Amino acid sequence: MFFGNKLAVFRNARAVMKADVSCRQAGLKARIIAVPPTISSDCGMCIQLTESQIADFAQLMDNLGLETKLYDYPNL
Amino acid sequence: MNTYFDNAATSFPKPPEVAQCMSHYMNDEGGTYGRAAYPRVQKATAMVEQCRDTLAGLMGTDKAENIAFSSNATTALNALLLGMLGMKSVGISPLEHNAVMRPLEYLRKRGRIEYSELPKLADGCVDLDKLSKIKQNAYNLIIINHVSNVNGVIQPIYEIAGIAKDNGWFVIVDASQSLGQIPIHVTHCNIDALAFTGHKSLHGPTGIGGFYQKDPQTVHPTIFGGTGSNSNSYDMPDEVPDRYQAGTPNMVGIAGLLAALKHPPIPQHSREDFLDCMNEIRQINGVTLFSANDVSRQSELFSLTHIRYSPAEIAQRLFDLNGIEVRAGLQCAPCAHNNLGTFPEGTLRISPSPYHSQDDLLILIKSLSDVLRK
Repeated sequence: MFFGNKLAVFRNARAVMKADVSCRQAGLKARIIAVPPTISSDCGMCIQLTESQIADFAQLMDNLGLETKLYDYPNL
Repeated sequence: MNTYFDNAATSFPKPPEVAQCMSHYMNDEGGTYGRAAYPRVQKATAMVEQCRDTLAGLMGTDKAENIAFSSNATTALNALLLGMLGMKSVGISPLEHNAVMRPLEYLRKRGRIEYSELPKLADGCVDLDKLSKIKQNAYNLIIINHVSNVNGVIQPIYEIAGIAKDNGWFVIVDASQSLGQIPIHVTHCNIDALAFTGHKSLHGPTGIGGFYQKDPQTVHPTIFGGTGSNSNSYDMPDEVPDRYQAGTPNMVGIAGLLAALKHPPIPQHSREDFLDCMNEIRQINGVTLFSANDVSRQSELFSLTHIRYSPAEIAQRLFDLNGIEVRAGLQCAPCAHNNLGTFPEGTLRISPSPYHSQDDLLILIKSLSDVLRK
């Protein structure tokens, strides 16, 4: 079971898919989960990460030109 | 024998993988687009995005998110033309389809635009020399039917778009008959918008098409509803592709289109076979052929009329003789027929597919010779 304590939220489903493919290609173990209602009322997806993955993840998103917002998961 | 010569209406047969993937999605996969996070939705969403990415590669853009899905090229062109603001003076290529003409006429009757035809050669090809001399303020927007669905003329889109760029004209391309068959690179070509359908030259299923839009801010959405994003607002999201994609997409259609993009047909006849077929038919007594004056601008479809028989009569005779299926009439393109001098009766259109063998083409020639000799 994967327990990341960070959530990356994107503007739409396409962005989530792009980020997910990029993470998998880079060997970054993350997973897609539903966006918690505390963050947004959207019915879509976000990416769950661990603290230690944040720097690599941010670099990947930067390379892709994808805008993302990070949230602490346990504090929700 | 493959007797179906109406591929400009809808291509048939399809690559076998198209039906297989559609059936697989319907029977085994399911799942909607971007509305939840469980694996079925993730897989379905990834499929949609893979299709969008593949289309982007085919069109020559790295902005796949600027491609929105719709039902077909007609709905795509409606979305572009009805959503576009500030385009008062419109120039159209001489071989336009009603998918363009009817939305334009709707807008013209409401005083929102005026439109006129671009200068043309005898075969309906845009006259580049005359186009380059048109005043800059003549148009805001020009619309080009990349490949005519009547005589198969391939418009010189790179040259036209180059002139448009110099003049600051916005360019929309209707690629219904061309995408997947005739190379087009929207970035190199500086095309602002392109409409396509899945079921003609791409060999996918009916009910799926879409459009590319270089700058999404220039076209307002015309369909409003749920997108799975920005759901706390009654306004459509600004982000693409969501901005243009309210409602659940045609998932099974996208599954079929993706399969078609991955498995294009291997041509069973050569370019020479097609040109020989066209020229043999041109030689039949009483036939007038409608095709490109410059053979390098000829796609694999053409039209004809006969001195004695109407297009409808020839179509019926071909079917009765050998079960050959062709399209007779105006092909939803009265604008093109007016320019070719074939309005209002229209023409008999012959549109083979890559699946036709040389023998199929020879049987077509013989069948036409037989029915026109009687």
